[in-house]
Amino acid sequence: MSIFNKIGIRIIKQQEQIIGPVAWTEAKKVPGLSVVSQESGEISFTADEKETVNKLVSQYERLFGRASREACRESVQDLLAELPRDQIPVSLA
Amino acid sequence: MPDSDAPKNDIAQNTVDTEQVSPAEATNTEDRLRMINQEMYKHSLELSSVNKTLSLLRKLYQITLLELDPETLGNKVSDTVRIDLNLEIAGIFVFNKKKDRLDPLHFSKSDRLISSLANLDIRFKDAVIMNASSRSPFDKVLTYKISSSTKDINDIWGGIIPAEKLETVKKEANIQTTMLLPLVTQNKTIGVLLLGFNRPYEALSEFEQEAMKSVTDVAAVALDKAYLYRELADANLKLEEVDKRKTEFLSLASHQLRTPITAIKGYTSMVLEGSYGDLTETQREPISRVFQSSLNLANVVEDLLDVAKIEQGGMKYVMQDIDLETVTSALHKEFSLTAKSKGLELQYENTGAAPCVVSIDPVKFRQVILNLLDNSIKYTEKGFVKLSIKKEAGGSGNSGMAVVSISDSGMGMSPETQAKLFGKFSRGEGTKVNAGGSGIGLYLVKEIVESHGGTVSAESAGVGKGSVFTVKIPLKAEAKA
Repeated sequence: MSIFNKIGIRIIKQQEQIIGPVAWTEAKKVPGLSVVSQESGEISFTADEKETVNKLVSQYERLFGRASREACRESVQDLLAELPRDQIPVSLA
Repeated sequence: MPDSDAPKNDIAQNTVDTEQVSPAEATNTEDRLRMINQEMYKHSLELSSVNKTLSLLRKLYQITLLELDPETLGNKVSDTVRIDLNLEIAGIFVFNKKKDRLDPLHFSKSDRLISSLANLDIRFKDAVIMNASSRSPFDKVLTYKISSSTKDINDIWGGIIPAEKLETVKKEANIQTTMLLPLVTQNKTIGVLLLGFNRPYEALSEFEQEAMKSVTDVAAVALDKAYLYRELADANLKLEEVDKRKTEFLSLASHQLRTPITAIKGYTSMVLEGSYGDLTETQREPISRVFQSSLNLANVVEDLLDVAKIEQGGMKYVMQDIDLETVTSALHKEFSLTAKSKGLELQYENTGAAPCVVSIDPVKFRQVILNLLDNSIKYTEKGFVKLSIKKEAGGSGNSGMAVVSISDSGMGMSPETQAKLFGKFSRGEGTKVNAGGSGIGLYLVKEIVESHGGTVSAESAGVGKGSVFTVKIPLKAEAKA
């Protein structure tokens, strides 16, 4: 599982804890992201992973504002720490 | 259209008016809705953070309830904290204040840290921190009970593990921040919780910071409880061992004593009977005393041997169905003279319809009644001693009980004495009469009665107010009251 895959799943699950199953509904609307299994928490990327993560964060931010971006960022701090600085999605920087 | 023309249309018009929101108004409404949505999200976010902390605490609480072994507890607490806080390492040191050292209890590690440590042949579990209270950054934690953080794991294990190895571990496991939190109970530091993050301290979320505080409190209490339990268990084990050795010693000593006492008893008896010639009155008195003392000593030795048998599980009972009244009436006859010689009246009362059939070991049960009767006579200076037997009806499916009571007008007991009366080597306190006895007679009474499925109890209104000892034992089915 790629680091971006882990980031994507962590973000959706974190949002799920806050807003419930609607987090998955919104994730399914993100272009380039495919929900393989909501039950087992599996996703895959069909487009550029870094950009798709940005779109996922924006999707939540559009609905729930700046606080949701902060929540996404905080939830993946340990994973971001593993990425080179230039690989960190701008929405999470 | 005049106002009065069509009221119905007015309503329709009004409805349309409400729905027709101007673009400006629409934007405001959307904004308001978005604002409400975002406010609700913030509240949900706060709740989520609290929920996560509570969830972690619930897991730790469950661990503390189920685990009493310090190592297992440390293992599970460390694992839970590391996984829930996404850490590279979570571990517990136990503080040995006397030796001023921190002993590693358990460290939970991420996969890559495990791999890195294995490659470098490092075992944190073996790395004891010596002179802990004067070693930075542990000094602050142990002395002032405040948390401390460092970016360099060399501060933690430097001098114990080679610096170049620690540098490699830090890089491979990406440990950027190591937090040290004091585990404090009753204002005493009992250990240190170590948490290793792969991010700077500033990047820790509110949840993580809040969770760390709560985790230390729970971990400290849990650890304290686990060590306390271990101390108690160890002490209990030692006591059991001491008790076992004491019983073995008593058994051995009693066996060794029995043979010479039997010889003394036998020979003095023969001397008193004239087997070695006639005795003068001057000789008879001391020889009689030696004989009586050897009898008393033989009884004590027999009691000690019985205690040893009970405690080693070797006491054998030969059960018989017997009318208990035959035992009590025989003992009444046997002790009447003894009582009379003390100026006491030994009363006897049988208020139950004969027979009073019980299933007992007659020899052992005779010993029970004899012991109680002997005590009553021994501790009563004037007045009476009364032995009584009756039946007590039982409930449905219960045959009832045979009840034997020994009451007296003797010295009685304080409530404190009553509470410990049936304990091993327990004797009445504050008695003016030197009545002798080994202090195990009533312990034996209790053990024997309970082995027969019965109970024994003692009552007294207080010192100087007499006593009542009551033995209850189940009746055989056919001997219902």
